[in-house]
Amino acid sequence: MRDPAMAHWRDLVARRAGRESHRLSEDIIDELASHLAEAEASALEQGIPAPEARRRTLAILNAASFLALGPRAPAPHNARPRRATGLLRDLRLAFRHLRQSPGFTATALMTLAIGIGATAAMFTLVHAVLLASLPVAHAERLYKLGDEYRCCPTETLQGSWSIFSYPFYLEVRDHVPAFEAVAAMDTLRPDVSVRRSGGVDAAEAFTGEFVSGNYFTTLGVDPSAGRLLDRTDDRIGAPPVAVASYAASQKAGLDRAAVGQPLTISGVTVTLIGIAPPGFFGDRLESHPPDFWMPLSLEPTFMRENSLLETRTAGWLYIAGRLRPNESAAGVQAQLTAALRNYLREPANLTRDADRANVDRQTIRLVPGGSGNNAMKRDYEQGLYLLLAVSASVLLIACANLANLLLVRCAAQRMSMAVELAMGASVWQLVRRQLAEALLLSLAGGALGLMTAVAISRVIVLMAFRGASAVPIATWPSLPVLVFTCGVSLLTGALFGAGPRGSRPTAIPPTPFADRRASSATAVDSSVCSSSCRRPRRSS
Amino acid sequence: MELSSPLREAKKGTAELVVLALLEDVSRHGYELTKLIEDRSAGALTYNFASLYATLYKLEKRKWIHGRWVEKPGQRRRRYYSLTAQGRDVLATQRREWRQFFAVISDLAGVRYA
Repeated sequence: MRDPAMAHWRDLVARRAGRESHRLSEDIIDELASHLAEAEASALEQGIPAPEARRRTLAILNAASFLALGPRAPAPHNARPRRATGLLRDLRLAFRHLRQSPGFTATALMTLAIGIGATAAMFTLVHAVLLASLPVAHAERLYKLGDEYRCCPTETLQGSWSIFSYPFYLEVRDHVPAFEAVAAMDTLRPDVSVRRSGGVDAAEAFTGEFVSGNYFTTLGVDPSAGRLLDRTDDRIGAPPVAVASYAASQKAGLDRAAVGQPLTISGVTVTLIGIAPPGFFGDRLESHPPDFWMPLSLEPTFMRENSLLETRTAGWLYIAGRLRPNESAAGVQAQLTAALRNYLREPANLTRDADRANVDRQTIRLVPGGSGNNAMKRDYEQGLYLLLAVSASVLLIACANLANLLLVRCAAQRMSMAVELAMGASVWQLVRRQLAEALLLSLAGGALGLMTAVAISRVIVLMAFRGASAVPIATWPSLPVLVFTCGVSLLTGALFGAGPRGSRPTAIPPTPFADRRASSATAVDSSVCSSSCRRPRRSS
Repeated sequence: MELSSPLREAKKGTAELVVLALLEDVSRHGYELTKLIEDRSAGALTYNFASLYATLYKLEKRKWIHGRWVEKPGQRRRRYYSLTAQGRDVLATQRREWRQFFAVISDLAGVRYA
């Protein structure tokens, strides 16, 4: 229902508030208008003529002040035009200054690119080899039986076991319920020749690996094309199949259309059922990762009289499993050791009777397998950390050089700084600009350093994996590497930006500006280029 | 009745007590409070209407009173205020303090109720 009195008084209250530069909420305006409308109505009820009733009510409004009712809004004519925020303005000024000194800027950027680039390159390798997990699902739940990578099958007792027979793998797979899934992988990676069946092209040399059918599901890897091996491929007599690695598929020209087509691998015709995802190089980092994965059921077909599949005494398989979420590695390790000893107590599973006395000394260690690089970690850990320390030292030297450069530049700019002070700039503004220049330089240097890091780490990896068909280490900067580089860049900027301001003040000859700011000119270098952000001293 | 200058000054400190006391038993809207104060004091005590609302908002912010809009048939929308439990405690305290104050003034200045 429209209430003309309310509308009238609401309008007057709002206008009145506007005149007092007060912004009142709609609620408050409504309440005040309601009060005035009530007052007017009450006067009318008492028989007071309408004009007089309105005049009296208006007097109530005019006698009031809204100062206590709402926050004071800024008057439009007092509003200052929007200006760039402090940091943005400093960065813009710093950019302009750096552009005016192309020689200095280029030298500083090159120094930073090398320093940050070397450090970031080393961190890329440290991250890829020592810190990163395999590109598999829930890598933290993957565990490997045994902490060693051994080259060759063995029939002797191993003490701490790392390679196992196929029957023992079946024992673990079927009778240790703590594992969600358990996979086995051949220790040997046989060289194989591959060509398309019926094709006229010459066969190409690749590396193969026999794995259990549940290998990919245990690791939690999805195909990039077709399908991966599964347990049906494990059956003896199952159709012969193979999965290509992404790198091998690129090298051999096997695209999606090749999936489902026959391939001849070392004289055996198999069907290419799928292609692994890019970046997946198997369960361990090695210089020659497998190109084709084939089910263990095919091992007798390929190895013929040298087949180890049915041998109960030969250890030739690595075993890795995915623990169920609530299982502890220590408890499962004890179960595995017990299972191994029981297995070895059976006469058919030992080659020598003399070993029987040592069965109770045989153990299995369960080690995290998510990083997939235990062997590589052992080989490269010390060297990589040493290189990281060396590159960090290079970066520190670069910081010292840059600090010197900035100091020299400050000395050269003392006249212009004196002018700026004379024009009204504060010492703090000049200090901030110096820091902004350091920040800009370090960020730009960090970006260049990142590109340098990609090149350096690629060269190092190619040298370390000389002759490798596919390098299992990504040199492209990952998110942790990007964060690391950004952090290093900012730290570098803070270091060399603060360096000049930490040095001793230098005596600067008097400038021609002998007025109120002239003496400040003397303090320019001692404040901006030397110590702290204190106010300039005035000479007496 | 006109208030002399010293009492006009003293009146400023009474607004909170008066508003809390008038809301003790029944919810009231702003205009009703103004009229009640004027009538019961026979015109001796009046508050500028903006000051009254400033007091109401201040008390509401302190959670001593609670305001809510009420719309009744045939009437315009009004905001009614009522005393909260906290406001009731404050009122009791203020009453006690004012009583003590009057007792002191009585002793010192010989002011007695008629």
